[in-house]
Amino acid sequence: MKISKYFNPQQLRGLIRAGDVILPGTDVSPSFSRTGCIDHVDRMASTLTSDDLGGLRLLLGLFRFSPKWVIRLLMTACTKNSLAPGFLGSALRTIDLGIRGMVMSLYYSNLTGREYQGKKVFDIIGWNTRLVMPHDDSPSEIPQPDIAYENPEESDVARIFSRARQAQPEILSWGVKKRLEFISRLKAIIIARQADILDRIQADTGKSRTDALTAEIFGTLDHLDYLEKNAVKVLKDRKVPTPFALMGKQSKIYFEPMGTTLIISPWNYPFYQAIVPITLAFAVGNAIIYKPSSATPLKGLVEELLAETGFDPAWVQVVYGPGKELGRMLIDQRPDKIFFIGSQRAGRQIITQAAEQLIPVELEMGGKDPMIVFEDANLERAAAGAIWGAFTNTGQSCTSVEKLYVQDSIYDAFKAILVRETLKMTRGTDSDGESDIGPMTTSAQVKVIARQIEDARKKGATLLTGGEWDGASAAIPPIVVEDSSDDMLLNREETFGPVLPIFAFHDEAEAVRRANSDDFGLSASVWSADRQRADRVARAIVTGNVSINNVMLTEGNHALPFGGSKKSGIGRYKGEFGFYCFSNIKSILVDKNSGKMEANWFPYSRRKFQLFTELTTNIYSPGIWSFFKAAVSGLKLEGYVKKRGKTD
Amino acid sequence: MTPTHSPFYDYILVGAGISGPFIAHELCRAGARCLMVEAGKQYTRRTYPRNDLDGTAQLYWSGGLELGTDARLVFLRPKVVGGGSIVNQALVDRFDEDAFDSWRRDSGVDDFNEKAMAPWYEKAEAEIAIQTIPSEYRNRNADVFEQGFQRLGYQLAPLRRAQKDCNYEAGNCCIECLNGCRIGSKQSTPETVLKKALELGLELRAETEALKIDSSANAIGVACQTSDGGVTTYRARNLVLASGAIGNSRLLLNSGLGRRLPALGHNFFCHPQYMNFGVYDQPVMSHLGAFQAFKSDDAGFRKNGFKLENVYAGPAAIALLLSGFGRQHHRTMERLSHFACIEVCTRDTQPGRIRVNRKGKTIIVKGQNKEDLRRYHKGLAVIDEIFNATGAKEVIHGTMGIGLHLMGGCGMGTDPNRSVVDPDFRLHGFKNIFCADSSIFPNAPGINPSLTIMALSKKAAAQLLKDANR
Repeated sequence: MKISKYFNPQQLRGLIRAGDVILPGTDVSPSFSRTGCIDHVDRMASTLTSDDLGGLRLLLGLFRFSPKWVIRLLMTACTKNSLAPGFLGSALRTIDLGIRGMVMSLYYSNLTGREYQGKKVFDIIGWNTRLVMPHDDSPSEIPQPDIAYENPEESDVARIFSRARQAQPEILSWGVKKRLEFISRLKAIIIARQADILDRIQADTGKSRTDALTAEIFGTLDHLDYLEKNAVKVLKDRKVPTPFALMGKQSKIYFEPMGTTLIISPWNYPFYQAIVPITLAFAVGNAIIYKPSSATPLKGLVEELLAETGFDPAWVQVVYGPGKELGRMLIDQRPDKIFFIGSQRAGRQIITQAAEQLIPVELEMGGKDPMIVFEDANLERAAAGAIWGAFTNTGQSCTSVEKLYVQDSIYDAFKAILVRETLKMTRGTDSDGESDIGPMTTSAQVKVIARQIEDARKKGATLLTGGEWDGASAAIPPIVVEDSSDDMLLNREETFGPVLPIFAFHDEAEAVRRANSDDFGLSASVWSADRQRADRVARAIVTGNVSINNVMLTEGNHALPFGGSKKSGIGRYKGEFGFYCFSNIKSILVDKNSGKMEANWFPYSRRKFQLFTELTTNIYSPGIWSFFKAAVSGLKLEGYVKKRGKTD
Repeated sequence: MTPTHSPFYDYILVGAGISGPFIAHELCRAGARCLMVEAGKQYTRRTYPRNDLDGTAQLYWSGGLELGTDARLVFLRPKVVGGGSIVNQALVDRFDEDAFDSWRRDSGVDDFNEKAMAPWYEKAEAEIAIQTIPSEYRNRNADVFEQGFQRLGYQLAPLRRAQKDCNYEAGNCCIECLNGCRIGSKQSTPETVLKKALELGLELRAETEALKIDSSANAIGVACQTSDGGVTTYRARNLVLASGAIGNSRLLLNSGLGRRLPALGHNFFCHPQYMNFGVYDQPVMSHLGAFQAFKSDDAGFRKNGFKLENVYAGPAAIALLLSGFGRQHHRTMERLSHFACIEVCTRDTQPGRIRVNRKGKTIIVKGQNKEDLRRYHKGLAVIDEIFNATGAKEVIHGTMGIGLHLMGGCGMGTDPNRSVVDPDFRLHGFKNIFCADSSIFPNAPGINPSLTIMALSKKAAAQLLKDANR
């Protein structure tokens, strides 16, 4: 059943029930519900008057909870309406025409749902009319473009954008609540199809099944759940206080969509990073053009799920192709907003091109996230956290731990646990959840890591684990590195792989200084029994997100905003701020339509200047006396303006 | 002259059905600057809806669900550029002396007679192609009709239809054109006079609904809701109302003119029609081929205030007219190709009334008195007779009455207390508001109204131009 703009799911189920009472089907004819003709209900509802629509909604809402015999009884009463006197008779006739009219029109217009396989109603009743055009201007079928495009040309891209722009007012017209019906259905479909989705993610990325489940499926569902619970609240028109000087006026904020949003996603969490921004932008009311990474496109999956949910193909269009060339073409079409998650290098290209066109850009790029372990931390827990934080998703997370600072007093003990536990890790692309990490997803990233490791080795670093790696295989073992220094590539560039450099520090000041020593600032973690110290350090680190006594966990709460500082990103998304990221936040000030003139409008005069000076001084001086004086100056000024208006 | 932001027109015409385009054509030909506003959409041959669901939803007010207060009649009120000429079955008959006699009696207007109207009918007929259906293309529904009439000794005649090029030899089915003719054969106004008027400079604004008129000043202002949801006021020297019985009455009532025009909204008629089906052993295939080749032409029927029509409708409409539901209903519909259909169309005598409530919503009060029901039952009895005489195994009476010819509400007459429009097509007491569509009908003529609307519009246009030149 499709989502209807005019009826909620309960009312639609009511219509199905009534439809099946009226048209239960025979050995020859399908039942009302089987044809799926209800999918076309909006074609009819769109032209009804609001009164008629209201009546139908009420009735269908009741049918949802009525046993079928009650509906049957009502419909029988309707057919016997002539027995009922006056008002009751007209009520029954109105109900009869409304309900049967709707059911018959849907069923006998030969319309079916997408899945319907049986014989068409027209074939059953023998309706075989024809109309041959004697004119050469006979209607031609307008080809419907697909939802997805592969390696589109310049002209295709222009078409994609114009289609999105045409569709956007329609998306907006559904309203937030209705759009959330799509979100809820998408959620149900993801839950039902999770095994299949996991297969697809693993096929493209090679990651372990548990990594795929916890980060991509669980995380996505958690986000959709957050949208369901919060979108209406956050996007509601808001009233804000109006200051004393603007007395009598009203101030409001509207949250409107930006328009057409371009979303470019990375390869490390291809499912999560597709669905989360798409649904967020859609909830606000944007039309979306989505470009997945060419390394892990999950080809066909996103559009398939959206289509199954009932998204119109024009609402979210998926474009496949090489990042650099296609990205340039897409930005040339001037989307109203660009949302990008990916590498610093690509992010820089995007913002440079967007700058030419003055397109607002949100960038979520990499990090070199520090983890700081103080001597009073629980060592076993901290070490386990470090291993997970550094190696989950084979280290291919923008927020994975890439620098581990351990206080010198516990350094040796901590290192022993770290190495012992790292060596226990299991590897491979599994199908049963038994593997900890999979191989690397892209060969390009394998080369980056090989270069960093070789450089570190050459410059004197020691590999505590993973020394057996040949520098070429994608199945990189978890590598713990000791004695690395700031001049090594490993500590200057983002690694994005299962490599964890470990350092000793002496005191809090040194830890903070070293954590802040690079250009990145995406996330960090601080581990200590002393909550005050942990909080102090969390504040002192220049970064977007900090977990205390945990790792990478800010992302686990979808109410928290996410984004980087320094060169790790621009802007925030998720949580309340995620909605803002895709919104045009509009300020509204409402005044009455009266004959009154404003004091600050022309004409200016010496007297007005004096009165304004008095008002300005009194209004902003402290104390109750000033308040009264301000009120008096306000009245004086108003009186002056009124008088001036009259004499002129 | 001072420049104005919105242009100033000689005439604004409200409604692009039949009357509006016929008048606009004459006015534009005389060089007048005209604006036509129409609440419905403008379709083309390519874009007319293609099934019952879209047809009823898109081409009628309230999605085809307009009911009277007692919910016994459904009013099908077209809302589309071309109006009734898009959705009708293109019957074009002149009124007979009987119809004009009753009009003269009720209105006091002497011009209502066959002789005075003949030149206007001729002018109207000259604008459209008129054909009867060649006998070789009549469908089996027509055969049943003819056979029944012949066996029972009733008179029938071939039907005059406004059509040009139906291409029957290709097997075309008339029923396809009830939601707008996609092959441009039906002589709807967009195919005929509206097209010409547009070529002569008529400005047409579709999806623009007139909400209120302001006649307090010399010029008339018409406030319209435009397709983007805004309200714009257009101004002109003269106003022509052409939005039908319900549309005109509603617009004038909502403009607060009810007190000045005491008869406004009164005397509303609609020729209630009821479809009935005979079910035969052999397939009849009423939906195929040429449609409605005959009409009843029997003096006895006329005297009894009904006529019979050889019509058909789409499956959704038929399913709705058959009372009942459930498996039995399926069984009946599964035999649809065995149905023949005859409709009784009554000449109603009980005047209805159109009002608006406080929110401006239309309320239609239209009862049927004993005489109306007698006429209906008389017709029904003949239909049963015909079906039985032609071997029908079962006869099904459609339950719901349909009001298709919406007439009156702004009746023409000499007495300002009992009518709204004077014999010169001008609203009583107004210099510059005119009307010539079916809303000026003083009563129900019992004959399909469209040709007479065209003729009256021709006459009105001539009157308007005479006034303008004075």
